[in-house]
Amino acid sequence: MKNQLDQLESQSIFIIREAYHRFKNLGMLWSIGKDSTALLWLTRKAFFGQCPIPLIHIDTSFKIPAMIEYRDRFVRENGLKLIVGQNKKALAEGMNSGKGRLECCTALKTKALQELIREQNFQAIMLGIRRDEEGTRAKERFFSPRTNEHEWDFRDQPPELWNQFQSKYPPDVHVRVHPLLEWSELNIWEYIEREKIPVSELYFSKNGKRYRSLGCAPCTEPIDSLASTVSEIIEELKSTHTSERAGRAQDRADSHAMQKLRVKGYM
Amino acid sequence: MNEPLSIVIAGEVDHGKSSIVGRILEDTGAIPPSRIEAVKKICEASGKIFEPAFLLDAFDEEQKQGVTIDITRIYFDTPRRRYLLIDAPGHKEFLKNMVSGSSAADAAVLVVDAQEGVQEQTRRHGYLLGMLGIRSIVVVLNKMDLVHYDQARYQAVVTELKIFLTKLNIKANAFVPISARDGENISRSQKRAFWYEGPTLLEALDQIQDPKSLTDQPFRMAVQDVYKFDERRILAGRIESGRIEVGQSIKFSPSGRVARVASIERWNAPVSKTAEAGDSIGITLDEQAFVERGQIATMVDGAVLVSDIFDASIFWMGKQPATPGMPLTIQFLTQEADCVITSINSITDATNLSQSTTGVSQIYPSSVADVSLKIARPIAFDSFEKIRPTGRFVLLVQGKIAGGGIVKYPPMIRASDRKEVSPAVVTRLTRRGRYRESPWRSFLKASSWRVSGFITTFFLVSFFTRNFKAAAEIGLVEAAVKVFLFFLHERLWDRVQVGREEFSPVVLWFTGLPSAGKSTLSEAVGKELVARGLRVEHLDGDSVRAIFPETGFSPQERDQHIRRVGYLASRLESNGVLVIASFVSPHRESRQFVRNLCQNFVEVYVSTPLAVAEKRDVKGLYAKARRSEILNFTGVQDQYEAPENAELVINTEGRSPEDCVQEILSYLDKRLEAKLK
Repeated sequence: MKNQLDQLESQSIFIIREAYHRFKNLGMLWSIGKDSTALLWLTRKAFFGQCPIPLIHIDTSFKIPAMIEYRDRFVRENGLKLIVGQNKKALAEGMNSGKGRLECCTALKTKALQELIREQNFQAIMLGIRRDEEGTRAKERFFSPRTNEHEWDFRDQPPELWNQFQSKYPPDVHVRVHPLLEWSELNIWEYIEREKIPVSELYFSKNGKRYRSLGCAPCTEPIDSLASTVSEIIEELKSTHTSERAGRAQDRADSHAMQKLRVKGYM
Repeated sequence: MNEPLSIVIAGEVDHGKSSIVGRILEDTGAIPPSRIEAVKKICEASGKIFEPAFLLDAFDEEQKQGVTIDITRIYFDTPRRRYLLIDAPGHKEFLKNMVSGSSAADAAVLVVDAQEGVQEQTRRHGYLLGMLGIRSIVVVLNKMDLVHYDQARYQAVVTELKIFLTKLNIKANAFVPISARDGENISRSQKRAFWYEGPTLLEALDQIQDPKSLTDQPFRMAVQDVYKFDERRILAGRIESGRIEVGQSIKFSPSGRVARVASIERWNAPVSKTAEAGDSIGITLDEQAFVERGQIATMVDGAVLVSDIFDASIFWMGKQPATPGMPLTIQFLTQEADCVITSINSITDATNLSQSTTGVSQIYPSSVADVSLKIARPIAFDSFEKIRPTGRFVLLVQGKIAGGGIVKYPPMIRASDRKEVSPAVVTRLTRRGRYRESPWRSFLKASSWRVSGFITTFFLVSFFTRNFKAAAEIGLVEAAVKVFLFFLHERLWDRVQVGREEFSPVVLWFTGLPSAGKSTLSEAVGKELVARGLRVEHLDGDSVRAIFPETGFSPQERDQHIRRVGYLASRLESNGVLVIASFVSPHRESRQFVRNLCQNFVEVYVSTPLAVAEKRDVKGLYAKARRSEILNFTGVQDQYEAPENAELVINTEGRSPEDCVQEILSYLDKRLEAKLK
């Protein structure tokens, strides 16, 4: 009998391979967080150690500095191809979270990503979002078509059944591929432990605090925790009653903040 | 930990699906209290009373309209096991989402409002659950609080449901009276429905058995892609069913290439020489066989079907109705090809389960139909009944998924086939030439004969004697006496044993694998019967196909062919010809069709085993089929369904043909004797 991790791993690999087969120009968003690092790992599983899909990182310039250090080291050590995107125009105009969290996220993340997709002509990108993260992500599809303007019509999504996904898209449609949709936060950590995936140090407790979710420094707070190893994090998650993104400010900016961000093309 | 059991919540909108889910999550501690608090805060801010359903309905729209827009997947645990919950919305136009949800479900909870009872969507969802093969269904009667936990109301709705579910061939595991609002009978009973002694909802779910493992079924793997990142040429794919080991020979269909598995490839995983259902793996082969995406790997004798036409049940989700001939794309495992619906054989109205088979020219959105499909090229598949993952497919319109379907096999016999020849034509054909003797006809014939006899005698006697009175008397006496004399004479000849006995014709139908020995036996038996002076017609597959070379070998075409030949045989039989037919006729259903047409059908099953028949391989066809130079070959790609009630079973292995012929002839003699008694 397969355990749940085997099953999730197998399904993600299947989806990654389908995406690679379907899209000539496919990229993978790597936020440096645990989910997209697990996605990167699964991609190497799918291609027997190779990573034929370029990585994309959207640098808001406000990221926690340790994240960037980890990013550059990881890329160097594993010989990966990384493309960094940044909304330099907005930054030059002084965009920051003080000007409104939703505005900041839209400009520095959503717009920067759109710009990069246009520049590099990516037909589709893979993202490590999960259904259990928050409500609007729960409604996602594995292959989620977006309009030219990257907008998401969640009322009219294509059906996905029996591992069959829409195969042809008009040239102006951009596709978000979500191989990790069915994973939970706990699954990710169990997988990190099983596979010994190197993740950022920020996740581990230092002076009684650790990051549960990684983002921009001004909008991400560490949580109180003594968990300093992967297995301690797993134990902690099994007993916790707070949600994963409780430390992420943009989720709380408005009662439907994530919905508003995501229809516009936020990750 | 075992795989979670995935359950879908289905039922009419407003019958409280989301509330039930919310309550389950709250009761099992699957939702962190902080999230519940957050939702409560949103409710307060917007001036609404908190409902458990809000825990799921994350969209602004959903909360405003009170409908769940899309599927939601959430895990929860009971002491027995882990569950994956798929919440499907109830709005009619959201059917596709419901199907997306339940296409992966192992079990279902069908929610019915105790006040409203069975509604249109209850029926539709119930029908789809049945069609998708979900057999474990727990029915909950929600909002029992609104009917004051009235037992009579509960019984009334349960009776209504049972009638409906029986029609669908579904047996519900339990009918649980619940109230999502009161939290009654979801995780625990507070004895509000004190008269109910069955399980709570969660108990009923825990009683569901683990689904049958796909690993125990025949090996199937769809090739997803071929990678050549280094010196290895790796075929990547996921095992749909069964298991595979290094060193085994596997066959790729539809191409038919055979190769040996040299290695099973995984990255950052323990090296293993085996893999099983659900594994996404890579394999390398011992030779440079050209294999590409879309090929289906099986064991060498793994009887997968290969055809470009088949029958299926489909549910349509497209925005436009589907019509025969409309350009479609089929995605079947990793195979993709153009296809069309060639005929709509019946449409089921899911709301009242009524079927229409005539005059159906369109499949409207949200309806279910039985259709025949024609694919641009042969593809490999199984019947849904046999192996589920390789028996289901999707149909696309302009690249968008617009329908899902499951393969029906063997193909259905349709009303339209039965009407192949109209009754008027049949009557005309039956009458051709002779009329059957009947008492009235005999009487008329005898009377007219006697009248003409009287007139002749009268004229002859008058001519010779010129005595008209005597002529009339002689004529009358002769007419009367000869009737009597004829009667006596006939009785006398009944007792005279001179000449041959009359033989009521039979249809002697030889069926069996290619090279089983059908032709040899049927020809010998035919010669013997001709020597006895009988009128014999010998039909065999090769001679009939030689006249109609366009007849194909797909399962459907084979069945058509057999039914046509069967009709011909029945016509010959009714005209007094003894028919000897020798056809592979692999499908039980088409042979039954012929049996029903004929008066005296004698099925001779030449039961020579596959190995023996293949060794003989008189026409070299087995060898060709093994090399996949021919497709749909019975015994290799297509299954032979052995008869269950053949009149004669003859295994030619180790027996002389004369011996077998003798057995058939003595059976015919016995049958004839029995007839005469």
